[in-house]
Amino acid sequence: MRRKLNCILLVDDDPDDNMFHQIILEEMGIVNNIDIVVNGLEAIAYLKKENRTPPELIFLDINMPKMNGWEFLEQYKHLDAKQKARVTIVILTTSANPDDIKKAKQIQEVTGFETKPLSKEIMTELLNEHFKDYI
Amino acid sequence: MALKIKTTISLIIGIILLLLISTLLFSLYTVNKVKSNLKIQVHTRTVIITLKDNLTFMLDAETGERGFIITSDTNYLQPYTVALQNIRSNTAQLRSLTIDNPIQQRNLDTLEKYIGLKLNYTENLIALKKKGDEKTIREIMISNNGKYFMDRVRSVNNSMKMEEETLFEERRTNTNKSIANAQVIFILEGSFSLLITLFLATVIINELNRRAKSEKKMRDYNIELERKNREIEQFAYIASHDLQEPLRSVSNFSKLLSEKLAANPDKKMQDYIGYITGGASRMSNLIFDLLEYSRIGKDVSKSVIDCDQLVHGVLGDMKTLIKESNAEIHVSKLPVVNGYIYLKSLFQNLLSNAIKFHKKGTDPVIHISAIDKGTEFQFSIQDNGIGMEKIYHERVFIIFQRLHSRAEYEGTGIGLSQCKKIVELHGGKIWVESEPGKGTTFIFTIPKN
Repeated sequence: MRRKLNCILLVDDDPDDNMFHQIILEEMGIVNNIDIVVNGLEAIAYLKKENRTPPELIFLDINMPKMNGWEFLEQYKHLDAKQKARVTIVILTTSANPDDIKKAKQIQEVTGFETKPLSKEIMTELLNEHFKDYI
Repeated sequence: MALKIKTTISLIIGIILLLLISTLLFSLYTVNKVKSNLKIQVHTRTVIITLKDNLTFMLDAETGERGFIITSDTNYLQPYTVALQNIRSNTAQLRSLTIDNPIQQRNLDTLEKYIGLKLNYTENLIALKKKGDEKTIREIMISNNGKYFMDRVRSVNNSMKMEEETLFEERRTNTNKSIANAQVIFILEGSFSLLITLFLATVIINELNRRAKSEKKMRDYNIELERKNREIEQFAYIASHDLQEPLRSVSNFSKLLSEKLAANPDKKMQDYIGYITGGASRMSNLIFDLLEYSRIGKDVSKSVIDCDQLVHGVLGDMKTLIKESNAEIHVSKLPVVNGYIYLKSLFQNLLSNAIKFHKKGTDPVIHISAIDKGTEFQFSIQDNGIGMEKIYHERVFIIFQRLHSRAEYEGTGIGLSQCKKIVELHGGKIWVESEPGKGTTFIFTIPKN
């Protein structure tokens, strides 16, 4: 029997989007925990917290105050292996700017690039691609 | 302005050249004149010296004759004979030296006459002495003819010398006058050339300053323009990005709401929600298209693009639309051009228009082709669609201009203005040939370099 994902982290400063993505994910019933942080700085702090099991999937926005998505990725590289084990990072942003897509492809830690809003179809595709053992 | 400056400069240079040439010619003339005057002066000197020699030789002859007469020593006859020879060659020389002067020639006639008389007289005396006829000698000597002849020779010789000296003086004055004239003319010409050159230099320096100033102005404008362009681009990007966010909330939650309301018996609620989602999605399309429009020209690198491959790629992307609309698309061999990545959007836009505006009940038939026009390629995309009135042929390329209501055909009114921007970025032209009901052909050109 396939199991649910333990945790998905949403990194986005837009509360509407967070709310919407949370609803979609909850309705799909594929995850136990959905955590939300509103910028890169908070995301790093979240990952660094002691005894934290890293989330399996991070949806990362690009344009955020304090620390944007690119800066977060820069910091993320320097985290301990334990803190980032098995994490899949998908950029989820408004921008369909070709320059951004090109840039994302060059970053090893980035697994995917999707434009908002997250839909059930996109999520199903992501699951099929990266989480075969799960629901 | 530039033309006027050019004419002025050419004119001034022309005047300077004319001045230089005239100065050169005049100096050549003066040098020649001075040279020939000097030659004549030397000539005059030679005549004067020859005249002086002449008198000396005559005196030599007389001295020799007298010595012989007094002493009967034939040794005295030797300088006499030498003097005779010298006198002969000397008079011949004088004849040729003054050949161009009739007064001197006449004087020379007289001189030769008295030289002849004096020499005859001398010769006679010597002959008488050799015979020992002392008596006749005394008679002849008392007659004083010898002195008379000799005085005449001296006198004519002297007037010839005077004549030559007058000539010499005349020529010297002449030469000095030429040199003085030349000096005045050279100074005048030189000063004038200098003034005009200074004027030319001022004109050129002024013009250079003016150009430097306007170039700087142009550079400043360019920098300003680039800055403004970047600002606008940034503005368009930020605006469209930030506009998308609230809009997404509207459409996201109205979608959720519509799912929740699916079971609701009040049909109107579904309709209202439909208007909200429809509006939000149209606005989202508009913003997206505007963003695309503002991005055209951002990537400035050209590359070699095989239009054949490009169009087949586009047709592949549009597979679903083509299948749904049952469109028949013919592509003839298309050229390889040097262009920007935006060419893809150009074909995409024109093709989707050709499919979109088809006649009701008629499947779209579209021909894509290109011809080589020498300096450019001319592409055409021809359809069998609804066509359009002539008055719209230009208007369709203006941003947000739509010919049809949204109810008839979807669209943001940006596509064709995008096409125009792309073609113009390549330095080409785009236009339309169409009549209502007879299909539409969009034609555009892409220059080869």
